[in-house]
Amino acid sequence: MENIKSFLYDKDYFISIFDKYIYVFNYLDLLHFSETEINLKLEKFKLLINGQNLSIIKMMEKEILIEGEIEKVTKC
Amino acid sequence: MLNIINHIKTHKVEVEVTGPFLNHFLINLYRLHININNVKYLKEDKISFITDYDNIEKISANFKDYKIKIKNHEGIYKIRPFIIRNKIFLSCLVLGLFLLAISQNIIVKVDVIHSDKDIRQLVKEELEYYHVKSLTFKKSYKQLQEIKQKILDKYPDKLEWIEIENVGMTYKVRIEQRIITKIKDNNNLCNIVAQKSGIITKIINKQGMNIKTTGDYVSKGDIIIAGDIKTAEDEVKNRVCATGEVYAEIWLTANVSLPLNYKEKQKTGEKRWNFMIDTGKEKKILLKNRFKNSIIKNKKLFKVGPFTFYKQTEYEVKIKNKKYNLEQAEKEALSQALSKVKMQLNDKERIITQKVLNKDVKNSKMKIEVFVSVEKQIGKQVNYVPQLEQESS
Repeated sequence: MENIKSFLYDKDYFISIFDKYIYVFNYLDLLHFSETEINLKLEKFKLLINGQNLSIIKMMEKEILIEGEIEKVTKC
Repeated sequence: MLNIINHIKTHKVEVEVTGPFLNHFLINLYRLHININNVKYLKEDKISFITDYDNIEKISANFKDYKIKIKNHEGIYKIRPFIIRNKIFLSCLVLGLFLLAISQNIIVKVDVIHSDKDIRQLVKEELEYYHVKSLTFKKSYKQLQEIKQKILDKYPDKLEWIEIENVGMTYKVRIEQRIITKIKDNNNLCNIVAQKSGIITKIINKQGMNIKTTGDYVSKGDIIIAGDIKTAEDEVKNRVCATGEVYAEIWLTANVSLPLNYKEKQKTGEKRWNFMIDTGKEKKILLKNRFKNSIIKNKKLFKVGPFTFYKQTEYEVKIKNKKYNLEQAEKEALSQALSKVKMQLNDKERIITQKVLNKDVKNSKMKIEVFVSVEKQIGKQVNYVPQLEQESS
């Protein structure tokens, strides 16, 4: 199962943005987390998510699902 | 599938955490490699999430300032307290369902229905051989069909069909016995054939198959009632010895020669008694016959050993010479001709019509030829050998 997963997710990372959700796969660290800003560390850059009422719905070792009014996603 | 099982088996809990700086709490959870899911922000200082039960100890150890409370168990562990609380009731329920399932699928009696004891025994033994007996599990419809077919194939000459009906916890087995009508030996096969030509007036069929009907003309030797019983498709279903009576109108001619001069005996009224002994070899009378012309009548009295004793009455008669006129002669000749024909008939046979064909007077004799139509039994049993049926190539 893990092999299939690795094959399907054969990427360094991927980010999916929906209306009220943002999903990040293969992040390395959660640097900062507040209702208006979330900062994630990926292998080659950092991802800054700005919005309102941001909250973590799911937080696993490699993936994170964030809910809220997402206003801006910045690659730093 | 394995994933689903693992998911069910994994003991997950819904945890409620109360404390300050919950964002940092979540970040630190990540640093501790604790996976969380379904995070709900209940209040400013209270969140809930789902995580593995094994993580609780780790969270409690690392976040001593937070109030951590297990709110719910997830998956199968959710109903664990209920199971423990009601274990007796649930055990009984499971046992009851188990017994119910067994009782619905067990046969306690196999009832073979047939009037013949031997057939009942035979079928019962065969069913037992195929494990259709009391205190065994029910068979599927397909299995029962196969068993039925195997038994029927084994006894093709005894069993016509079998029906196994499941009524509650019993099998009711109904059987139809095969009765094979043996075709009779060749020696006993016979037809009713016409002995004479004529028109059939009546057929009394006791056994066999009518080939002719009333009103049909038959020639001598024609089959009237056949021993072969055939279907409409001309297939011989059975062979018997045909029996019955066939009456037909047949035609005869009778010839009579009547002398015109004849002698008539007239009783004088005198009579004598006498005795006669019949020794078996000869007849001896006790007294001498004293009349010149007489008519004698004997009446049996008794028998001693080989001797039979008769009382004899002698009537004296006078003989007169007479002569018929032609009308009288014809009447007498016709009467004698009919009597001659009647001698050939039995009680059930009769004369239908008669007609004088020819009459002639010559040398003081009247010769007469009479045509007579009679109803006579003409059927006769004749043995036959059945024809072998040709096999179609």
